[in-house]
Amino acid sequence: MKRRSLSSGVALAAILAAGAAFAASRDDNRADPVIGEESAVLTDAPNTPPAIHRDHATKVIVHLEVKEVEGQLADGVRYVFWTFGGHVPGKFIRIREGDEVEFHLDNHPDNKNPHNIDLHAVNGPGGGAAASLTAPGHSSVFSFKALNPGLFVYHCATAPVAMHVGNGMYGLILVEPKGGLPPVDHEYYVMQSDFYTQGKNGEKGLQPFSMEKVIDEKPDYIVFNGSVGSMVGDKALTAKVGETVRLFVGDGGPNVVSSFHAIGQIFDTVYAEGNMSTPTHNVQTTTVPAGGSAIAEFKMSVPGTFILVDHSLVRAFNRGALAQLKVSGPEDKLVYSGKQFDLVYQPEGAGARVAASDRPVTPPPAARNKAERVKLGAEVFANNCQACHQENGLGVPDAFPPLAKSDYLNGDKVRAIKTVTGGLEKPLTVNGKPFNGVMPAWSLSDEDIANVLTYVYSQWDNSGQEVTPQEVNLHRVKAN
Amino acid sequence: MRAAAGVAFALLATAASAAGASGLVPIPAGPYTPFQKVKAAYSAEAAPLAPRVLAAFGLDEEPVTNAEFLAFVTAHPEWRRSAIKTLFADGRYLRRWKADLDFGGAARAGQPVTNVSWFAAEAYCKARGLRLPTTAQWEYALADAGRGQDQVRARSLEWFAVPNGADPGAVGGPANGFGVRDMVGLVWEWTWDFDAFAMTAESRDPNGKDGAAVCGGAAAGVADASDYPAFMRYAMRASLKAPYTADTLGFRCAGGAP
Repeated sequence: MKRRSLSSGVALAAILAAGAAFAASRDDNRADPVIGEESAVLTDAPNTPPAIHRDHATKVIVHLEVKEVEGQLADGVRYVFWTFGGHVPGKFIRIREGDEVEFHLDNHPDNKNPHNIDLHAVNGPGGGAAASLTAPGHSSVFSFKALNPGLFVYHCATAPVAMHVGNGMYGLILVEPKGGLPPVDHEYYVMQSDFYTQGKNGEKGLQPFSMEKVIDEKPDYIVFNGSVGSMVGDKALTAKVGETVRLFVGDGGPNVVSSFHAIGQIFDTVYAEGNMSTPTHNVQTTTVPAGGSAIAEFKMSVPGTFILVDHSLVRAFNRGALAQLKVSGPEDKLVYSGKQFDLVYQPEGAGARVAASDRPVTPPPAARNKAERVKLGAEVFANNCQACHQENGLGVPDAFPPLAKSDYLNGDKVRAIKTVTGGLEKPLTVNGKPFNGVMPAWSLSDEDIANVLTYVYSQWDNSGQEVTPQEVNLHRVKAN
Repeated sequence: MRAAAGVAFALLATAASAAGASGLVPIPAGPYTPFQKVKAAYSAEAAPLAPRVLAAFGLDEEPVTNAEFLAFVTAHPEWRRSAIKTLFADGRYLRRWKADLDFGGAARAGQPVTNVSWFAAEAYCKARGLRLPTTAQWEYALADAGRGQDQVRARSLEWFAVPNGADPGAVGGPANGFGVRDMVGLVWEWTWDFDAFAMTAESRDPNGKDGAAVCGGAAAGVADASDYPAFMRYAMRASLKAPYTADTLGFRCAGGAP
């Protein structure tokens, strides 16, 4: 009993200590004396500015330039982005709890529009927006003291706000806690957002913003770091086995919340919603609200390509919310074996396709003569046979035997019926060439098999004979 | 055949000269509903303004062009780039022109003049015996008694998608029902009382100036929260001060009924 209370007391002390490291009070931060002055280092995603090692607050000068620039949203899809710093998402800003920030919002003279900025790290009306509406070719200045640590979104708040944000006006500002963050090997900046174009997803050319779609909340693109494929292939994030990775994840919206997930990698630590006082551990998927953030940390155990997605999966696979983290280094077969065997799985007593017969099927109309049989058979061929035997009936050398002028096929109609209905898994010779593949048993109707065989016999200088459903029924290989 | 062509030509000529001797297109009187709702005194509620009747007025058919503005600065040296007082224009006044009396190539003659401050625009209109249109007049002319508003919005959004840096296109786009052209799609335009609506700079501020809720998320403060281009116009006006100039900001003049 005594022992238990002692250990819980130790745990409590540890929590308090951790809490103290992460949460100086707002009053402390307001009173924290500002020593010296420096210019903020700003970076484009996926890069982040270096960690802060100062042990005191300072005055940080931030110059953030708004630029309306044409860029690529997806392959062949151009878009005029409105940006904080020339790219989407905006520049990453990194300061420390207690810092005094002198913020300059510079609106490039080429721009068409006025802009402002709302930093969620600011305590004050509009998060700075009230002080920063800026005409093209002008600059606004305001200051704030960073009272709360955390990872915060910033964005433009000029009307209509959904259009400014929908065109790319958001980024992240990290207010490091006084104790700093634990050191890691890699830090990356990943921000999800949604885009609304007048053309459908994939429609090429310069795409104007769609007011209707943003109001309906129906995005054409949901992407990481401003475009489809921003972090894949040569641009993938990288790490090595044994290294630790920290992702600063934001969601700019304007509308869509992210279910952020790394395929094949559990997050060891997540600071949910960018809140650094209560880390959670062993997380599979973390929610990132629109206008919110999360920090995910993990150690790479094995090599491979790990895919970052919004696990609302259509967004990843149809709208672009997908990135790659490529990890190199030695395998650890204990943690993950890789594929150990690849076996043909044939459910007992039937061909691989038998399961298809479970589905209710509306029987197609029966062919009334040979011409109709050839016509219907062409469809059956296209849907079932063509992938291997090819549209021209020539097959694929060394893999799938030809049907065109095939001695194996033309020589014996009954053998053909048995091959289609029973499958074939043994070496055979066709037109003098050896093949050793697997032909599944096709669970097609007598009618379909008659039609497809008649079609095949009618093509490519084959024998031209007709196969009837009655013959198929008589000779088919019956499933056990 | 020849007679028919002649009639058609005569009709075109009539339409083209609708602007009349003053160069202004007559805009008939009619009801106008402001975009922004106005807060009643001592009330937190934004109540819609009732439509009010706007008197007839005349409006330039097109934005003022470089060629027209060149004629003005030629006659009025104090408005040339090298002579203008900093009180009346910021450092980008006529910045795309090559020199005081050279707007930089024939192609620009028919394009809207930009990088002109409110003071310079108002002086130009005054020299013609006119003034800048009020925001209500400008918006009323754009609203065109409800005709073709889908195209107006579409053309606005297409303009935002045009990459920046190039000169604006030449005037001469399709006329609306009143007979005015190019109110959207080429440039923003100054209005006489551009700052009368200035909300606090912050869009979503519920404590903003009276009559203003526009700059932001204060969607509750406007007549049609789905009219994004209207928000854009009011936000642009709100960001300006009279000496400001911008690459995409021009103007046209208005007067009493012609």
